[in-house]
Amino acid sequence: MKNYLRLNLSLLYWVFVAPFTGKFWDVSAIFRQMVFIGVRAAPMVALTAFSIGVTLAMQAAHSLQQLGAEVYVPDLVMLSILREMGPVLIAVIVIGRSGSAVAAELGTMKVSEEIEALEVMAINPVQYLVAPRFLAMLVMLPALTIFGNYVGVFGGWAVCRAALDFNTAGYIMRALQAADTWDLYSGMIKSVVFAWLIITIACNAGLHVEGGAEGVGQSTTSAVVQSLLAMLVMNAVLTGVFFFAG
Amino acid sequence: MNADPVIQVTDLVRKFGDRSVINDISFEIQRGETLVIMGGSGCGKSTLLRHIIGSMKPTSGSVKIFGEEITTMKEREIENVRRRFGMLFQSGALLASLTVGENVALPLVQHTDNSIEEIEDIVEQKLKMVGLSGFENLKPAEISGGMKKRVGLARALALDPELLFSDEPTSGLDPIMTAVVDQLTLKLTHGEHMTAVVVTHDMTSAFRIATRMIMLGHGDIIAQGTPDEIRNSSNPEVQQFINGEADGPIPLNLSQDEHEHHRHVKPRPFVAARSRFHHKTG
Repeated sequence: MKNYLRLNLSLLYWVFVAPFTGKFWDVSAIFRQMVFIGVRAAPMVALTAFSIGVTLAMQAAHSLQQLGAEVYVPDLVMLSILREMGPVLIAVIVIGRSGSAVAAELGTMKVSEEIEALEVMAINPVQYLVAPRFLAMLVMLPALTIFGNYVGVFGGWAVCRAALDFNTAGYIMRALQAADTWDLYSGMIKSVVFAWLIITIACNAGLHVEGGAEGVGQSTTSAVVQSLLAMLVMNAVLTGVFFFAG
Repeated sequence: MNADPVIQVTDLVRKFGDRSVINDISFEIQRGETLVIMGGSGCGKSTLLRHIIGSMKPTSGSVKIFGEEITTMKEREIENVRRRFGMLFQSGALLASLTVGENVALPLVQHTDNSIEEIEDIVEQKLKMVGLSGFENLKPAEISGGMKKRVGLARALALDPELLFSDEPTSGLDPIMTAVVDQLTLKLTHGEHMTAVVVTHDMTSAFRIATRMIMLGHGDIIAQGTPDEIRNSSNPEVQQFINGEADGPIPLNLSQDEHEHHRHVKPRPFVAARSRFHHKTG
């Protein structure tokens, strides 16, 4: 925990303070990480979000039809995806895919003395390795979430169009009426907070690996488990905050 | 010769629990000298090196590099000192995600304002020094262990450091390449007044490059002096070590406790037993 807090402080310095002292971010490294964390994850995110959209619409239709209220299916799909399903499920995908990869990569670098070599070359590992990944994650997780939201709502449309009595314009109209901008923002705030948790937990686990290949495996597993737990607890906390504040 | 020592280690003590790994060591290194640190496995060589480069803090005592006390420095102040020295790691410690050329260029990109062309020139020149011209675009995974070590040396020399630390620079190199690396060290220390601290087991190489030698055992300095003094030392442990004899005063095996302590991990019987086996057979 002490290591984790220290990493966060150091990260805050390198991300927000150092650029004003002449040590600007390594933009090319950030873009490389954005491609890895964001662009390459897009197909998986699309598939997940589409499945969730379809499932939500079918479940909603099943229950709402009994009340004769299938007109509310778009509302339910839109709100569930924007507020909860989008941010949470896409964070789950990114934890499994990128969080684990970052923990394993940094962990391997730690056990093969690469991190120590950086320190001895007077290159700060937080500046050189963690900051680009952090910034890339902070941009790409919300971006993936927006993308996933679209695909999820599209999945809902597919069900409404094929199985229920909706035309495309009707679906879009209902969906847009149901949601206001705050629904989108609350999901975005969540995904920024999740991004922070996922990448700092993964980097912290990687940077503090001990004990060779076995250690890398253990800390990768613990990075995934810890970030899943932290993300889900934080989701409940944020939903609570939005619920009582809004 | 400059009057101020480049490195001054005074009364250095490092304890893990109540066992001391470094036991009150003091020595100085002058500019242009090549100090070879020798000693059996687990005698505290690597721990000593890590204290000198500031990645470990001593229990007590002082380490001064370029006249500055490094043991009490903050991380950011240590970075300023580290820019003035290069270090070659035992494994080379190249960044696996970068090419050979990018690895050598890394300190230049991070610490200088040179243009890309200037950096490319320096990288080419440094790789040529270690006999690896034309390998710029290969990844570390595509070259042999000895080559990695030479790339590590090129990277350590990229900023033309005043001080070079080498951890076993010649292990894994063939005899010809060993000679090349030794000559390079000699050229840099004689011609350009670089100071070198070399940890090695390779006695041929050690006697070729050293201006002074220190032999460690159980955290103490057993012997120190010029190569001739070491060669003619009457200390039986020194004679056993430099002649590579199996029989003598240096114990063959570390105890499990000593071995695990050196590795800084909790004792695990199977690992210890396995490593004892390797000590005996390897």
